[in-house]
Amino acid sequence: MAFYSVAFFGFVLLFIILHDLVGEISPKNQWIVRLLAGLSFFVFLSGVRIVFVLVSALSVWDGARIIHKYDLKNKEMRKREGLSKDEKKAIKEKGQRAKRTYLLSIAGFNLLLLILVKYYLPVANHPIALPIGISFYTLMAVSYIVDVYGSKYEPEGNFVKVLLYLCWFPQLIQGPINRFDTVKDDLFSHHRLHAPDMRYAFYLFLFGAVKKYAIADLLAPIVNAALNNDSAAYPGSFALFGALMFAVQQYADFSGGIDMSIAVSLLFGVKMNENFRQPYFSTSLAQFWRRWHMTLGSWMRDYVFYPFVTLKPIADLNKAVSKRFGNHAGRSLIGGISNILVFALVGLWHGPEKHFLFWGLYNGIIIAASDALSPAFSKINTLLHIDPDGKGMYVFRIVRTFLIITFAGFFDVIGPVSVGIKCFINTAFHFMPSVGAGMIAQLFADGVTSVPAVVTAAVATVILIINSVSKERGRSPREYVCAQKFYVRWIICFSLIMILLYSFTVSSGIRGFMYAAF
Amino acid sequence: MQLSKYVKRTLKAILFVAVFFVMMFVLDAMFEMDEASTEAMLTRYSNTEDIDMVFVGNSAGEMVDDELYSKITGDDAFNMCTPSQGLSVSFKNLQLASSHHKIKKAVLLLTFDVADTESYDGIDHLYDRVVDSSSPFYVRIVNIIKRDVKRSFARDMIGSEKSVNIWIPWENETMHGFDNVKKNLTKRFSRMMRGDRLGSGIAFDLNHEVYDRNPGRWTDEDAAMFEEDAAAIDELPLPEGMLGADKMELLADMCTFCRDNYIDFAVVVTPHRTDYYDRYDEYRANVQTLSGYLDAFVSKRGFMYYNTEDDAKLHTTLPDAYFYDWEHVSDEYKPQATEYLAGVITDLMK
Repeated sequence: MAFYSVAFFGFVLLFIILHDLVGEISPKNQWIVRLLAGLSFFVFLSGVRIVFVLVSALSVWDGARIIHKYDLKNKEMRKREGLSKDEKKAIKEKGQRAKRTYLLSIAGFNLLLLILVKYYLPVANHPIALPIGISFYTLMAVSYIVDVYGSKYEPEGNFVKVLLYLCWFPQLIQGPINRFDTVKDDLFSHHRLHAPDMRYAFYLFLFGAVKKYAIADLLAPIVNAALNNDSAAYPGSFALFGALMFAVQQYADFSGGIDMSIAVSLLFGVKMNENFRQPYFSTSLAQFWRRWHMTLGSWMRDYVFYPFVTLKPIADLNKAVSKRFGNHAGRSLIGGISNILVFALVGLWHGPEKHFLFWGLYNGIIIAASDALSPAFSKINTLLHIDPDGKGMYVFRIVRTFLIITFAGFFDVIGPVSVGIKCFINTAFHFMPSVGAGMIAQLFADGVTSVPAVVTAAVATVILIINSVSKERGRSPREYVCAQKFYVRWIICFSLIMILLYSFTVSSGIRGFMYAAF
Repeated sequence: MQLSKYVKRTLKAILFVAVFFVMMFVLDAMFEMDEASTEAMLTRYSNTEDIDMVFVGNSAGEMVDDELYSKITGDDAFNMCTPSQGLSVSFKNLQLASSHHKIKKAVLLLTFDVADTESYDGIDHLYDRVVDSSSPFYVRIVNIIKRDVKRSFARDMIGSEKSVNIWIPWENETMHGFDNVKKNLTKRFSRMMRGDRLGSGIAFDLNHEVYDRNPGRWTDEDAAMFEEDAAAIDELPLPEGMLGADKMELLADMCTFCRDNYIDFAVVVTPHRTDYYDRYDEYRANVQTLSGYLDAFVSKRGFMYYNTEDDAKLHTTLPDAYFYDWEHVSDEYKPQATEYLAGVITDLMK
């Protein structure tokens, strides 16, 4: 079911009415409508495979309660009179071991379930249709139980509330990967729909739809023509052009879909976690990953990176290297290994194909290398009298980061890794701009794209850039629009609607959300 | 105070919707109407009074000049062939003509590549407009809403983007380039000024049921007969997009329709260049076998089939130079092609 469809609009309208109605009659129970919406949406799209989310919810709900009980029991035992310090320590360690075992088995069970349906069965030639949102809600389930284990918050006593957290419908298509503590208040409390919220949600949804349909879907045929299994034979200029288009397409597709999800969720009073913060204004790849798919990045940081670097052998290694080669070496080595591990996992999260793993490693290695070489870069800056905080350097860093991300597109889109590498080589050594320009012109001649489609995508991209620049400067364009006189709002609103509707007439086909496939 | 706030909001909402509709219609006028050739054919059709014979088929069939054909044979012929016309649309054309005129003869001018099986949405839209165009305004609006609700809520449509876009007046129209905007606007404006609406000459006593794909005349006997034939054709390896069992079902429907409406029906494979079959590469022999199946298929149903390839005089009467590709006759040689087909069809249908 597409967000932009009669079925989805009808679904949302029906549940908003019900939500408001129940909110008036029994405010305390309004969250039940949200739960019903989530379950209905799940069943509507995945039918009986709702069992998967029920099992996940049940396992982490029960697991978290047991872990919490262990904690309480352990504390009580340690409070008993007459115990020596060592005895208390022994009790604590025993409790910790039991807790950890339980945590690992529950989290492992959920991750294994994901691995089974997403990776093992397709590889073993027994593919099953993935339950909707499994890649997202599994990570949410794991974060919930790990947070309870870490005493970040107390476990939720009501199973169906945990179920609602996992199957809240706007997040099911492509995230964001919400955290329990950041959404629970909104999910379980009463909310009354206000006109400003509706207006804000409307603009957000509309803007998201423009990104998805007027940019991403119009650029998709160009990307497909430039980045494919035959790309090794293309001149570097054409492959680079495809990768640049992909960078725009991917951002418009993913962030557009997230905008639409967040907008719908807002209508029910649930403010979901932010997933993008103008990533293409990043000055380094590491910063990019703190601004792009932020909820996945922070999940990896909190549940893979930090636990990994605090492992005893890793900490020992850090100490040993630091002692022999200095603090920077120790920190860079451990950070580098952890980053490579994290990005390999991020790559695999996208799918079992080799090119995703390669893409992840590409990101991890660059981040690790840039961290390790940072003192050398500083020395070069000093030697060349470059002001690292100057405007020129700032722009240079943004362009450099954007190009690094663009090159990653070769491995993200193209299946065979060798073809991706060849594109990389061609971009460096066989650029051939005139041949590339001819191939771009041929895209129009062959009907792959058209002038109206490209102009529409360009206009929408300019709007996207203006929006991003304003946000980067600390202004909220949507709040600005909402605060304008009605006729100004209308002009903006109608312009966006027209761009959106016109894009459908020049589009060569509507595509599903990219990240829905992950 | 509170009331005036609500009144203000309501007025604003009404104004918003009104502005939205005006914008939609202005944009609608800026677009090229979908299937301009079909529109042109239907407009010409609506201005033609006497029709007792129709040609249906794709662009290859446009080689027949219906006025010349009528002069030669004495029939009141009308050519409804349009580019990329699939069998479903050919059937629709036949039904449309039959609902307005007493059609005595119908000829399907066939090439072996038939573009589509399913009726293309845009064509339905255009036909609906033809049907509605002389109805009172409110009837048209109600019909549009009824049709759009039906399409939008269809099982295969409701979850897709199309379910929303159906409601956009220019949903099925295209803009091939910004250069055409001015031309399109002028065209629509002058048409509006003349009060000239699409299909305004048609007598609208249509029974809408006639547009159903299967008008309910398909008998068990037909079904049994079809199963056997379709299986034989389906087993024949053919290039993609060529006549297969699904398309043959449409042909069977056309035959049934003609039988029930006392229309003399013929299927004629259009004249072509000498190298016509070369285009089918390794399927060449199978395509020729298909022609034999088609003959049996149509004859079994009591109608006529003719493949012009079987005529030894074809390539001397219509030499390769008359064609601008494998199967399309150049405009200047259409009279010769018409004369040739007039002879073939008269012999076939006598």
